[in-house]
Amino acid sequence: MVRQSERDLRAAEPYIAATRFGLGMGPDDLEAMDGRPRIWLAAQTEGPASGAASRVDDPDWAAARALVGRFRASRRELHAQRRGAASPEESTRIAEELLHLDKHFVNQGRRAQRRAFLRLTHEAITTPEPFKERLVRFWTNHFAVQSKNRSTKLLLPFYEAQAIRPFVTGRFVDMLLAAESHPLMLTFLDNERSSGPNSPKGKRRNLGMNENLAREILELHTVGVSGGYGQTDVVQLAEALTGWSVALQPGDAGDGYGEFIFRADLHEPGAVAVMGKTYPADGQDQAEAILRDLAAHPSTARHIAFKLAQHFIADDPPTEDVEALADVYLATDGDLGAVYRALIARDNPWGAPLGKLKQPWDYAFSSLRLLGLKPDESEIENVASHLIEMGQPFFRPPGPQGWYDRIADWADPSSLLVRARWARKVAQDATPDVDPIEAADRALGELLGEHTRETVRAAPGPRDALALLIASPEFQRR
Amino acid sequence: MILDRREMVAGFGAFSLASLVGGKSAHAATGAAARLVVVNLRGGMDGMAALAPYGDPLYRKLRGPLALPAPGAGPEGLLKADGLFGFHPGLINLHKMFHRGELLAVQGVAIPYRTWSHFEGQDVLGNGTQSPKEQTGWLNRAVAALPTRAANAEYERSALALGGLLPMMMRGPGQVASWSPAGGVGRERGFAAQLRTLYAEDPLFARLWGDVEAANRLAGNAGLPDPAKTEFRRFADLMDASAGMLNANDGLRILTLETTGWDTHAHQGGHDGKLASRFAELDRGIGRLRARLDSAVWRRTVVLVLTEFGRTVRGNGTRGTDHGTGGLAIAAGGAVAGGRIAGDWRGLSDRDLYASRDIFPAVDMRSLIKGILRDHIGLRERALETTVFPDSRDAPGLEGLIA
Repeated sequence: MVRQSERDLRAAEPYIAATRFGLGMGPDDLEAMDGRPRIWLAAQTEGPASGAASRVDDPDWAAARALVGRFRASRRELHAQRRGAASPEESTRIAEELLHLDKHFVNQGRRAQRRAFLRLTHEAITTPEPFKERLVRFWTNHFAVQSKNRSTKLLLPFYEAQAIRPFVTGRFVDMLLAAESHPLMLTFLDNERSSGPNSPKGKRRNLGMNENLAREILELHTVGVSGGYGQTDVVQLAEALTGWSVALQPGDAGDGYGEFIFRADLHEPGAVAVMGKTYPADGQDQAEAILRDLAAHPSTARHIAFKLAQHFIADDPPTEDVEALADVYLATDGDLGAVYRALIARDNPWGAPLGKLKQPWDYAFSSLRLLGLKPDESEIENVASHLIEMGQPFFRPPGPQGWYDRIADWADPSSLLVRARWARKVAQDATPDVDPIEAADRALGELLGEHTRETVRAAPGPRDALALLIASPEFQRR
Repeated sequence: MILDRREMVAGFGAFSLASLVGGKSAHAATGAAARLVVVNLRGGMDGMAALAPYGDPLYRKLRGPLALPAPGAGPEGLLKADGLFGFHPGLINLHKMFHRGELLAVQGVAIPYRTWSHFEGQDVLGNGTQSPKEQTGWLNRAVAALPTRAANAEYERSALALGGLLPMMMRGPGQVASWSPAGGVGRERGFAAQLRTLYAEDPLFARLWGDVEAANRLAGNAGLPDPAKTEFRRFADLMDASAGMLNANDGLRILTLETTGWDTHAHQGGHDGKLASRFAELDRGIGRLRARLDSAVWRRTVVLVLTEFGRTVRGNGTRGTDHGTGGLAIAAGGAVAGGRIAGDWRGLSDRDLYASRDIFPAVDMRSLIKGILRDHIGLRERALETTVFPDSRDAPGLEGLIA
């Protein structure tokens, strides 16, 4: 992109705000910006994200957990029956019943995820705070989780609402604590049964410790891979985290399946030392103290600054931007809202060309937002399967590191073909009164290149033209 | 203005492989051209479960409940390779190939960068350097380094990443294509032409769309079924499709595939269970490839199975294993000088392990790959040391891998 004059830059600002920071231009965004796109963005850096929920007093969460509890109890009962079966025929019959139950269980999980995806899609399409919604996706990816089994499948949709949305513009430490203590994270990274070698149960049963959660906290969530920790720190943090567990059956402390509980009999006794600081024995609070310090660590500031700059500015973000954001993080005790406002105030996000590629979910949502299309329950499956084909199954990141964020990670021929197909489909679904050139100007404004404009104009029909707009490099970039 | 493919070739550097369009194969006289299939096992495959050192007295003690019964102990026992090692009971085809001299197991293999992080490990495995920074891959650079053919011959893309997004090893300026069952042959030819125009002035999109069209042609030539109607989710099915493309006289020469599910931290199982079913799927796939390839082609094929790192020697508290260092690599194919266990197995005593927990990283991954690229594909030592694996003089290519 050719760097333009002051005036041109000013004219492009609303479109940069919508594309680089938001979910693309929707029907009401330009008006909402009211000629001041940076203020529009800054206003979105306060308060929780829409759909935030509490793990403590959410009746839906309690109901979902109770449902999972019932499934698990039924399974246990059927297994017991099978063990005491009087005949092989009875054993087979019970085995079939188990199969049906499991299928039902899995289907409930699938439906729960589909409903959640539908809500998320609608939110992305209609939200007046698309920057905040982008940040929700960013942090859900930073603290990526996967569902490990049928039980967690049903509960997965609650994770983002409880661990991310309430804290997205608040203090990083609060999001960190919510994410690491969330049952989904504890089961995903195998911490629920991790036991200290000298813990009461560990000594008796010769159980073992699992380093997974500790490693990913250091490597991915806080200080980062070059943040200055070593293998000893991983082990020590893992020891502190033993006991951070999840209620698995009735009779566990807590109010039923799927809630956080601290298992003192698995907790490794004694003090630990992580990254040069000693933490005395303190039960459940020992790991919390470590996490608080990690949240305040300069390496964490740099790591988060880098990731945000890489996500919003460029694959190789300018060092001065990373440093500026890290400084603000440290100066404000990890106030993410302040960091976002500092990002908006930098020059590079406004002057640098839009070279990154939209990830599949971003691409799909921004095209629906532009055209004001809202898929219903019968259509949402189609959206989800397109995302899978583009290489991004929505609730299934490839691992704790989440989705990668660089151009090379998404610049792929087969993914491009699927995006072209998506563009075609969305163009077909658009209402007949949409004018392709008007939509192109509305979507991209000053960011629309001459060649794309001409190719869209020269298309054989309005559906083709619209499809070409959605498939264009300008619309796929941010 | 549509970019002339020759311009793209000139722009992106030397390109070609021993394949051409039109059936005028220069190899008709000398026999089939070399084929290389690289299978990337993502997650850190437990090499000690794949090829277990049952003959070491420390094996059973260290592996505890994860240790497998010695060969001869019934259907759950290891399949004997030699007095020390046995294959996992699920690796039936690989075991057969081993004894036919078609499989080489390489012990103690590791990337030249110490990390227990998947994404760093995979990045280094793919980029062929000593750190995760580099964003192009060794296989892409290898394709770009192959000798050019006559100036007026038409080139077809002969390197394909099968199954989705382009893996790191295939990224870079060298001309490769990717094909995913979901993104195969499209019917909308008119729209495709409009897209070609749309992308013409954007180098990234022009190149990607060119690859889409090339891959479609390749898939079309191989007679692949309509992806909309085919169940391609299993590795064995992908290998089946690969065989078709590799058999063609003027078709594919280099292919990459990936499988996941190897990160077995919890309840990995023994003779059955999670890991066993991954082994069975891998084994089925390679067996299927061997069965479907023409014998002349199989004789000139190497299937290289790699992973970013091995796993801990001891099990962890959740009946699984954690990320390790040294691991197992496998080279299978008619072209392989197999029937032996190569590499460097140091043993399981505490001083022989790495950090007292992992298998010792004795063999640089690059040395293994170099040996194959040099002796099987015909890349020159100099190219291997400078462009394909930059700064790799301390990792000389292994000898004697190819028959």
